[in-house]
Amino acid sequence: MTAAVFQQKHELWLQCLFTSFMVEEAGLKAELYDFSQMLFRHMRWIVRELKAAGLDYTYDRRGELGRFETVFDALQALQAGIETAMASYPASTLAERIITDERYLLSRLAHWLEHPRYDAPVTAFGRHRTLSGKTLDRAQTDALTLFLFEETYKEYELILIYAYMQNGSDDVHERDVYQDLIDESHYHLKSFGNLMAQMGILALPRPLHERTYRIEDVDAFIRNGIDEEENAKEQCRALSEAVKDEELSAFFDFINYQESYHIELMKKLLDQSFPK
Amino acid sequence: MEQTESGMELTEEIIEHMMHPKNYGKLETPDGVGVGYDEKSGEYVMMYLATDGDKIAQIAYATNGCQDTVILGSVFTEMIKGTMLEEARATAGMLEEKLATAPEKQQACSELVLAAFAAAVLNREHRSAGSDQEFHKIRIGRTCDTGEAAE
Repeated sequence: MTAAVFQQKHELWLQCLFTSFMVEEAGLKAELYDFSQMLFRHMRWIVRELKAAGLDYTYDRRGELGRFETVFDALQALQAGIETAMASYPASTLAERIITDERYLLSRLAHWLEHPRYDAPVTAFGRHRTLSGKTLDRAQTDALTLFLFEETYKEYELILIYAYMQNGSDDVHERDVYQDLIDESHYHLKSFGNLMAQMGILALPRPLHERTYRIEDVDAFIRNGIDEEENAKEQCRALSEAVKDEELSAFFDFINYQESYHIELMKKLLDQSFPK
Repeated sequence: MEQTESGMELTEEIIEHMMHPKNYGKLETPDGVGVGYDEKSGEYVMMYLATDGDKIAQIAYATNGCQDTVILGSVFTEMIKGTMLEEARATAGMLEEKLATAPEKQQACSELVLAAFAAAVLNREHRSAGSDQEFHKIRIGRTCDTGEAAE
C-alpha cells in the first residue's frame, strides 16, 4: 500500500459519507452510510500496512464536494470515484478484500441507478436554512447554523486525530479509548451532517493541516481536548435552550450528555498516558 | 441585525465563506510562511505567501480554529490577494481598527489571522536575507479561549 492509496481512500470515504447525507430516501441513505463506514475501516487497514512498511501518510485531500443537482448525479460521481480507486491498489491480500467490498458497492450503485424511483433533486445545497416542521427565528437559525459548521469540522478533525494517535500507539488500553472516541465522533458527524443537508448548507469540513494531527505535546492536546469538550457541552446546552423546540432541545441535551462521557474517556487517557 | 455569538452577521456572503472558505489550504512553493498562535487554546492560523516582486501572487491559509477564524481568514486573504505587500499591510491595519470594538473572541480570531500574515511577511524577509527558516511564529496577545460560549 502507498500513501497515495490512503489519500484516495480518505477522499472516497468522505465522498460516500457526504453522499449519504445528501440522499433523503431512508434505505439508500442507510446503505451508503454503512458503506462509508466500511471505507473508513479500509483507511485503518491501509495505515496498518503503511506502518508495518515504515511508511508515513498525511490527511491531505484534493477536490471539493460536487454540488449535485440530482441523487443520480451524486451516485454516478461516487461510482466514478470507486472505479478510479480500484485501479490503484497494489496486489495484496488487503487489496483483494477492499476490491471485493468495492465491487459489491458498485453493484449496489448500478442497481439504484437502474431504478428511477431512487432519483430525486438534491436539496442539500439550497441554503434555505429551514428544518421541515420546525419554526426557528433568525437568531435560532444562525445559532444552529454556526453550531453545525463548528461541530462537523470538530468531529471530522477528532476522528482523524484520534485515528492518527490510535495508529501510532502500541498500548492496547489507549487504542481502546481512542476507538470509543472515534465511534462517538462518527455518530455525531453523521447526526450533524444530516442536519446540515436538511438545512441546505451541506459542505465538506475543511482539510486538516499536518500541524493539527502531528501532535508533539500529547498531554497538552488531551487537556485542550477536555476544554473543547466542555465548550461543546456548553454550546449544546445553550443551543438546546435557544431553539425552544422540544425535539431539537432533547437532541442537543442528548449530545451534551455524550460529551460528558467523552471528558471521562479523555481523563482516563490522560491517567493512562501520563500517570501521576 | 442577528449576529453569531462572537458578533458576526450570518449573511449570504458569510455563509458562502463558511461553506467554501477561499484560499484554504497550503502552497507548494511559498516564499513566506507564518503562524499566528494562541498558546492557551492551542489554536493557530498558518499562512502561505507566494510573491511576484512585492505583489502577492498567491496566498493560502489553514487553521484549527473556530468558524470566525475561518471566515476572517477567507475574507482577509481574498482582500489582499493580488495586491502589493504595502497595500496588504494597510488592509491588515484597517481590519484591526475595524474590529477594535468587536467582542473579545472575534478580536482574538482576527489577531490570529493578522499575526499569521505578519509572520509570513517576516519569514519572507528572513528567507530573502538568506535564512533557511521554515516558518516564522507569532504568539498572539489575546486568547481565543474567552469562555464566551458560556454566556
